[in-house]
Amino acid sequence: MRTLTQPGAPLQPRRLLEWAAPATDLRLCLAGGQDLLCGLVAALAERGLRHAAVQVIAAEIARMAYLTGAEDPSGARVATYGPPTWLDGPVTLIGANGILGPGPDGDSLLHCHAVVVDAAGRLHGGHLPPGDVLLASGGAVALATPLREAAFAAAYDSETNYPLFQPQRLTA
Amino acid sequence: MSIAASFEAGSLGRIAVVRIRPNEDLVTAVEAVCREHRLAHAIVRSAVGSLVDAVLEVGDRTLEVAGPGIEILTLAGEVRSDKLGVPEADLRGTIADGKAQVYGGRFRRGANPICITLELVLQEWLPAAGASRET
Repeated sequence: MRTLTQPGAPLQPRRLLEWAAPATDLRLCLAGGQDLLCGLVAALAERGLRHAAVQVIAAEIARMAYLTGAEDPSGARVATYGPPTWLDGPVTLIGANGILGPGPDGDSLLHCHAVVVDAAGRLHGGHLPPGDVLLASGGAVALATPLREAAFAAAYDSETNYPLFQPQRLTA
Repeated sequence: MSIAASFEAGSLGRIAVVRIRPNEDLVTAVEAVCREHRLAHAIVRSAVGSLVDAVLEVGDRTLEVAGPGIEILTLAGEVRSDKLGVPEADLRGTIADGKAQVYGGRFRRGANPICITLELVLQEWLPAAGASRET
């Protein structure tokens, strides 16, 4: 198994866990004509949710971009994102996982990776940039698991030189 | 025709908010964090992260995918503990490499080092009292 030398010193512990309380899931449907991630963040915020685990169950997409990983030529990090790949619809989302929490600037961030099929039947997948996944008229369906008492929040990670979601206790 | 199936009644419990740091193996790290926090049985609710390289089991074949920066697109699976309380993870999912090729399969133990991070949400599975598997 190949490992990579990160730009910063290894941090401990290597595995972090915080316990969140059992919660009632929320199933939500998004109408077409809006951005998938921005729509999910706004809809969940309306229900007072800023921390959640999200599965996108279905989405019909009119136009979208995704990013895949690449070596970082600057050497500042071991990996970065390459240029976006754009797909014209109809694109069918067949699975996506997401984590919702406060991003580096404090605004809600939905970190989401998805696998989709393009109009010609080819599989694609990667990181979804917010604002670049326009839903078609079929919209989207997602299942959100609220995270209470503990959740993810972005903080600078000196080992990887990235701001990353870290498990944190939530204050009441 | 006989129908063979087994059932286990139970419910979902606490939610584990987990991060795995770089160079830890996906499968063994999930098992280790469950062991360290006495999480006996669990299912994956969501996961977002990346791998240095990936090895997936597909039937009796293995797919070796070179990174770095392989994106974990979807992750599903469960953790089950044996009678001695040792957790074992069965994790399956889809990944994309740097050329945007998508692959799927079961993540091979000891062969999938985390690249930047894994953000993972597990939910405890609580078998009902006395609910040893019914057949």
